[in-house]
Amino acid sequence: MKFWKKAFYLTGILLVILLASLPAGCGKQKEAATPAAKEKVVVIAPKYEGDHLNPVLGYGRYGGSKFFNGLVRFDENLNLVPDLAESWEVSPDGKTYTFKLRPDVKWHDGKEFTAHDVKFTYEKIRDPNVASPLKPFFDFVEEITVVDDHTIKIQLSKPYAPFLEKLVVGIVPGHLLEGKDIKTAEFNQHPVGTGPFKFVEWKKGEKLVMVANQEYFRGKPKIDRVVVSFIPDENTRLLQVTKGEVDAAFLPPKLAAKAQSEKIKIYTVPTGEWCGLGLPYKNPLFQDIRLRQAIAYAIDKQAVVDRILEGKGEPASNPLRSNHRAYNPEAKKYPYDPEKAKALLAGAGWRDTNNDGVLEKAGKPLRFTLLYAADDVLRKDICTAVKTDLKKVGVDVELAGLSWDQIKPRMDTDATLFFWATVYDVDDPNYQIWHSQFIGQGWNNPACYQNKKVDELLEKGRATLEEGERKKIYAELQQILAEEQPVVFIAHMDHTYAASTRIKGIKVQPEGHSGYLTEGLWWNLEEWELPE
Amino acid sequence: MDLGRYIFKRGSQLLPLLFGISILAFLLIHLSPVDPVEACLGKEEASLLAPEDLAGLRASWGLDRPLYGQYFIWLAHVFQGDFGISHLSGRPALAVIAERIPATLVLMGTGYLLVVVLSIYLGVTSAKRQDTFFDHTCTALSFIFYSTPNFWLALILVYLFSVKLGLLPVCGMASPKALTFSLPELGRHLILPAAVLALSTSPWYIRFLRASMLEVLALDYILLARAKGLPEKMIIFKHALRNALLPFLTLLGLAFPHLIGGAVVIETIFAWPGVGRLLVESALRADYPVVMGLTFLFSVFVLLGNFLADIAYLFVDPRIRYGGEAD
Repeated sequence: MKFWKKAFYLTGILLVILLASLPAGCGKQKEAATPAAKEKVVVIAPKYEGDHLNPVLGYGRYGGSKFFNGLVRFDENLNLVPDLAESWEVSPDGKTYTFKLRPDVKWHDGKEFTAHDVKFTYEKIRDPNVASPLKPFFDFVEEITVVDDHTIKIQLSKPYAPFLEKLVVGIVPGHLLEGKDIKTAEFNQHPVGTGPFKFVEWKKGEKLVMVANQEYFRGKPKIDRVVVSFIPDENTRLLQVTKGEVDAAFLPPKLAAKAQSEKIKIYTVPTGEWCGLGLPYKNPLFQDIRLRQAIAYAIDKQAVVDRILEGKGEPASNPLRSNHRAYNPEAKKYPYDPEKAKALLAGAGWRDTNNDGVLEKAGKPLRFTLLYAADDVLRKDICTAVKTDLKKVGVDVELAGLSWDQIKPRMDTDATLFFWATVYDVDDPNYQIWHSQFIGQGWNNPACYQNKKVDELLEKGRATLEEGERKKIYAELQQILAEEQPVVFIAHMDHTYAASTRIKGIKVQPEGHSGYLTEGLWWNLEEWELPE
Repeated sequence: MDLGRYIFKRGSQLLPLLFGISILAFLLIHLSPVDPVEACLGKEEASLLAPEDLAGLRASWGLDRPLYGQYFIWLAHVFQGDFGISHLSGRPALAVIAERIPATLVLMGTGYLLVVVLSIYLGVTSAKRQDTFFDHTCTALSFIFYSTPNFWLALILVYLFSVKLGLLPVCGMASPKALTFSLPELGRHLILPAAVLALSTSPWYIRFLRASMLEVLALDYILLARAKGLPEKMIIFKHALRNALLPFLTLLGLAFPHLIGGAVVIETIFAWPGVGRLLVESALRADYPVVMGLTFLFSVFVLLGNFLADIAYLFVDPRIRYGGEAD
């Protein structure tokens, strides 16, 4: 029996070690985590967790950061309205911005918010050692001057119309970050801001907890506590919503439909996201505009929306969606018309001479490879639909599902399925996608598109401040892009969320392709209500 | 050779092994085509930054040095207990890993105990009752669970026990609304993931132990024991199992990689905040310091598993005494 005694003791020791490790990982609770009696708690589950909570490093670059405020913020319809700034003035030459700041704002630690914090934040964004992803938007900033504690002046080197929109980024407290390495500061995991919610704790991979800021300058949020639950698997997220463990969650359209019930409402959030086939001009095959237009006519975009996107989206012919304020309804559209596609191809000299179903010209078949990111089922489905549709008009497409790192060196010559988004100002990211100066620079201008008129319009668009004039510039840009189809635009997409019907005050704001806590259904969390 | 010296000798072999593994892991990670800067900032964001800003970021992560230089700097820091700074969160890699270890230890530890108990009980009983209904059922179930993908098994069990029957929670280590830690609550959350881990890992061990037991039961000394009229229990547990366990212990030592592999998938499905999930997230986004730290940690686990299996040999086999000398 000696063996069994030893085995028994060994098992006992293992159990003790196991149990001893529990409190270390699970038992830590901070004082602020203690619940009040009838607290109104909402549990939400976004798609992604994020790496840090510091706006300087890119957290909440489009606002909605919960813990912080920008000088301005987006409203429900993406109009810019005052946030930390009470008012602002822009000089007639568009180069000087003067902001009057609210005098009644306090940081979560009780200290007063001043113009010095604004200067500190923007200086950090501009600091090359920080390598902030927001730095390119502040490249035109020449000088930041604190006029007094509640007035700040920003001088640009040249007019940059989208600049005001970039100031939705949260302001961080200078008094807590001065003299620290902002890339590694502990602050990035335990933020102190001016926003509607105060940070409580972040258990990585599990949840982030925040409580209402009782002294919030726009009025205290109506829910007391928000728990952000991180559930990477979509199916598990669906189950948590249906069981009521989670009150609202990001779900793909197919799963969201399954969650719908008397207790759960589905919200469709329009995004500025579009998908399209990049047909790079460096490939001689794609240089003929008739081929590009034929491909645009040959793809049944409505079928892609209905069958692959579950009806959550709309067919696309240019990078702006019909709900965008700069959308041009006059720009050319490409309804599904295989006959027109065939005619265009015939006009370009493509004939099926050997009756194999694939067109040829000068003995060469009309065949190309279409690359897509293999880790995304949606992209694979869209590419398969494209292949099937193009086969019907005699174009043979070979699909290649690869990793982005394998795609990158080939996307200058091979057709690639891209997703991009224009939600806010037209300049972002269209300046980088269509301007010829970016050809061959990483992911910018993937179609290697070169059009002097387009370059001119993009430059004019960012330098013009008058809204009506800008709209005309971008209307012309859309006309050219729709006509030339440097990318064959396929569809604009929606995101879907499931939320408990108990929650009131949810408003839908168009979003990009983020999936983080800062955007989508969560943008106005401070206005949500849980009636008794 | 005494026990202490044997353990020291065996233990000292672990260091060169760890060293070799770290070189291999370092090379493999750097063979990956993923660009850490792009993976960290995002493709679009990285494209917007000026080349000199990107170069600066690369340099601050030490990626501008030749590979061997990067490795030796990493190694020198490791000896000081510093695994570097995570590219993604800007925090020490060791802190990032340490906060996720308890969750994985609880899950893997429970799964491991279940694997041991299930394998020994079912393996021995199946062999004892060879060709009976019990044995056939056990064999059939072993094959079913062995060939079922663990993510599918997880989803089915969740659907059955959480959605349909409402007996167990869907995911996590605690309810999202829970504000304080409670052991029973953790226990309830642990049942499904630990069961999936055990059910998908143990069939192989059950089958192995059954075969090993059958082999031993057919030997002459068992026949002699039976002829002597020893009680069946004593024959099985004292005489047969001890010998059958020898190869089984080596295998159990190797169960760590299986469990870690399983934990990666199971932690994702059950939103279990452990290191398995962290590994996938960090590897996909080329967070070298965290990936290296985790590889190092897992290597230590696997080597320790083998080491402990060797030590356990001493307890079960009296012939093995500190260096293979029979006594």
